[in-house]
Amino acid sequence: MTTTWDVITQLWELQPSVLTGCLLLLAGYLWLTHGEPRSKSLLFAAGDAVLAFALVSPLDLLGDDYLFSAHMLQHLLIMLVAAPMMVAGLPASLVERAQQHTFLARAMDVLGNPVLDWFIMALILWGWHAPVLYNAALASEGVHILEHLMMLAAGLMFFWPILNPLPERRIQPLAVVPYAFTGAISNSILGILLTFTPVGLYPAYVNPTDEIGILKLIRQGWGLTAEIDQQVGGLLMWVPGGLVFLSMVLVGLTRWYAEEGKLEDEMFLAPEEAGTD
Amino acid sequence: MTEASQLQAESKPLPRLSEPEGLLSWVASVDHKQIGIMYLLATLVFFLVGGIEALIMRLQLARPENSLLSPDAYDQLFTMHGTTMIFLVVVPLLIGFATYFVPLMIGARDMAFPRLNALSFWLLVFGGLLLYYSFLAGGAPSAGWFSYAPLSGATFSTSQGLTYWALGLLTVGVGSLAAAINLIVTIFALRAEGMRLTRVPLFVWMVLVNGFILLFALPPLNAALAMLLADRLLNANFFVTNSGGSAILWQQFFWAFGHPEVYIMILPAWGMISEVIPVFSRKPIFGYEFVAGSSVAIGVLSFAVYAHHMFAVGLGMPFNLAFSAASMLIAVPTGIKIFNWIATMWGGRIRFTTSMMFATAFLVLFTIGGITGVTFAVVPIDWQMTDTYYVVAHFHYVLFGGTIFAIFAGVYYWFPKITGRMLSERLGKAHFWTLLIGFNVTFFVQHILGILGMPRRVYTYPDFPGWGGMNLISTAGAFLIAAAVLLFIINVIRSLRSGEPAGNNPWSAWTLEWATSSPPPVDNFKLIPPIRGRRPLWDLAFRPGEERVPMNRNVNRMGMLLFIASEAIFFTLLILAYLYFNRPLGGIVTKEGLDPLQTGIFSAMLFLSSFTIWRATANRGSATTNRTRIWLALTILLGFGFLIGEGLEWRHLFAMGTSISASIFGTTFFTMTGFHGLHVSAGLLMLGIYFFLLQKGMLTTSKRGGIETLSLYWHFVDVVWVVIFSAVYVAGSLA
Repeated sequence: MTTTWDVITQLWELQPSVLTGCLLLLAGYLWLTHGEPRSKSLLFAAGDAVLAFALVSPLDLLGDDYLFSAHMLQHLLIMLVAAPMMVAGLPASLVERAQQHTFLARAMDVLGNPVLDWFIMALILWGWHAPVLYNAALASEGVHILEHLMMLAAGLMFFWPILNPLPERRIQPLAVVPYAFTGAISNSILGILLTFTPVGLYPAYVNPTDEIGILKLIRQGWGLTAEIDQQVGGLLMWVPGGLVFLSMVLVGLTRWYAEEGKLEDEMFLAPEEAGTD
Repeated sequence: MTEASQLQAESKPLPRLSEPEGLLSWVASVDHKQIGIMYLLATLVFFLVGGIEALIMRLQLARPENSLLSPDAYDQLFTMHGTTMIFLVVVPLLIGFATYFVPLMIGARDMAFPRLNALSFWLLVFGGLLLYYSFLAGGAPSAGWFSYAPLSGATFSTSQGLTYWALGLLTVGVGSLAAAINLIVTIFALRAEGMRLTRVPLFVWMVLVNGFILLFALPPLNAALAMLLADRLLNANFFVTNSGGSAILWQQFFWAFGHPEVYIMILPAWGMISEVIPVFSRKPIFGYEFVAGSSVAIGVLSFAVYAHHMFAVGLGMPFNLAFSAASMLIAVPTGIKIFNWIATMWGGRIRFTTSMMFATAFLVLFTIGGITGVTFAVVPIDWQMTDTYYVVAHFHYVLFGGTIFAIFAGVYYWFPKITGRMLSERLGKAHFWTLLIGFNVTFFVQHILGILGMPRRVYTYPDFPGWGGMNLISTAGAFLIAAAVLLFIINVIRSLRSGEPAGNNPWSAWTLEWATSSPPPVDNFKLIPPIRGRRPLWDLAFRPGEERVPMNRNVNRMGMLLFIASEAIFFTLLILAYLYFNRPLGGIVTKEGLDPLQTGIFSAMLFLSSFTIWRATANRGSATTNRTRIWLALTILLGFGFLIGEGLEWRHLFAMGTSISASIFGTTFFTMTGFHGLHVSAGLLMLGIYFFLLQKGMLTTSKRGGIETLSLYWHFVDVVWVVIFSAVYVAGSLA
């Protein structure tokens, strides 16, 4: 295995547990919604596909054994791409039905609390990057699965108050701004620290055990030394990750503006030449 | 119904205000118009000083190997020119315009905090004086306006200039921060009935966005300045590489401020353009929502792209690529605006008054500056051009051709409102053409000089082919600019003496400031017209009336929350520096001999005080004053207890030989905990004053609400300690 093409085509690990899980998720969704409305179903299915991709594509193996940056990309796909797509892909009718269910309604109330969600996101983000936990996840498959599940949950919870399909149950449009902006700061600071910390936080990436013989390709062919790898990982979190949060700020502002605009009943009947002169 | 009677019928009178008069008003005034004028005059003086500095530099550069200035004098001049123009001219000038016109445009009587407004202005004046005092104290700062470490450290900048620079900027910065909070609260809370945020003039929108950028961009500068001062005065090690510090850290913090600063200097100018162009095109602005929305997008993005100022530092290709890509994004919302303005002019009945001519020139010059700016987002071009005259040309096109031209458009537009007299159009047009020609002659050739490789910030240059000639052209242009500014001043003086009276609305404009007399009375409006749209004065003549809007008017709470947001960024950066320098964190408690148990006990006292102050606020009714007093006293005692604990920890560390200058741990630890301790002390002082006033029965019921604002501050200080305690003591205990 010595070419990039081999890596792209042959490192897929079609783990049955992941595939079954993702398929069950989609099947459950279709069963509950009957595939209506279509645009929402497509969005949810796309989110589900991103999730599956992050977990079975070569990213997973590269992230497990070789590259911090690949692992970071995988996490970002789970937390900041798949999760918001899946939340936004739920149809309003489904959430309404769930709302009538006492237990589910209570669960949504408790788990949808924005303060809780914000802290869960920060906790998961920072906690799993603490060397102790991160290295434990790399060492044990069980811990690793737990890590990914918690990240998915954190992503779903963080975006729930913003993208909740029921507009009346979202947080106020203007409250989205500090919510997402502080989220961006928390995310960026961690990214900055990872970018500028010398390598060695996660020893498994400094001297990977080269089980499938692609280390030479990575280090020399791709030019990803351990230093550059960690820098890329940190930057992925800092810049594209930060932009996801910042785009939520714009979502909040756009919504607020649209609401103000709805109240706005003025028409632009500009007279040719007017004024008080 | 006639306009006047309609006004009578639909408006309500406001109570009269009194105001110091005559000479005293120049010192004691808290009227936003008087303070606005003072801002404009003070910045004009600084503009002239900064301009003279530029002229002297251009004389030195007029021919190769010139010996007018020594290298050191030249360094001082370009540092002072940049610092003056950015911190003492452009930013406060725009704040000055906002101070004068925002309350008028939204139908308010004054700013939300009039005394704070006066404080902001005087901090600007004294910060400026502090900066210029350095000339008398052994030499002005000479490390450039961004004062890179280690050049700015005590080792290489031995005169006191840089200390004055840092102190002066801190003073000015605190003033700008106060002004930003004041403007935001004013815009949120003091709009007249019906003046929704979707209806405010675009200038007000831009000032609002600008306020938020200031709020979040200044703390990184303040944190960096505090660290620089610690390094220079207390021998700390933040930027001293030999002692474990990092010179790059200065660049990171400085540009985290410095790039948003670029937008701080241009957004309100865009706002002015967005007022001037529609009025003189006789058309509403094209795409109000896009202009407003894109400025928010720019504000948000400006924090995500600052690192493109550091392409040449050598932080690695991934770093450069990430920020190169992000920087290109900013061209999108900026381009949208240019199209909005052009579309507004398209098909309009354009009146080329002096103001409109400046606005039109702005469009062209700013576009040129923007395009050369985009070229810098391309890493290889940046490497080639960085620190050459191409950069100098680029940012002068943005800040002079952009902002200053926009400001002149604004001056010619609003001068009649401020003084009640028109500026001469004939002199104005002479001023415009001289400036336009002078500006382009000066700066266009600098693009070419930069491409040829002439470095900026070097006091002279060898006699290469063409260099002498082009520099001479540039110097000649600079003197044309000086002539243009002279024409402007003559125009102002003539107009003040014998200008044509302006009347209320000489341009047939439609925003609210033109509804009142010129100059406006102390209380701004006799009567405020009902506001039903974006152009109240047009609506007055043409539209029927409607509704009222409930508005949140708790200005104290809002002001405090904004202040806390800004402070949070400041502490985030201090804590970030601590985390960055003390790796790995685990084990630091044993290594440095910290005492988590003792500090934990004292920390618990601080956390407990959050509870007690909450009880104190809950018991605020007149019948429960006694209980309030007890809870308040408990809070103060617990606060003191915490300070004592912190003092014990410090004494223990000093005894072990740890100090701010001994190690990078000491530098970061003492700065971080020291600033926190300072904030606790400030909180105790405020609580003490409140307690004293309550004890003496000097608080009216309405003023007792102050405790709620104070308690917000106190909770914030506690939360900061939660983070510091977790970072230092909890994370530091890990194996």
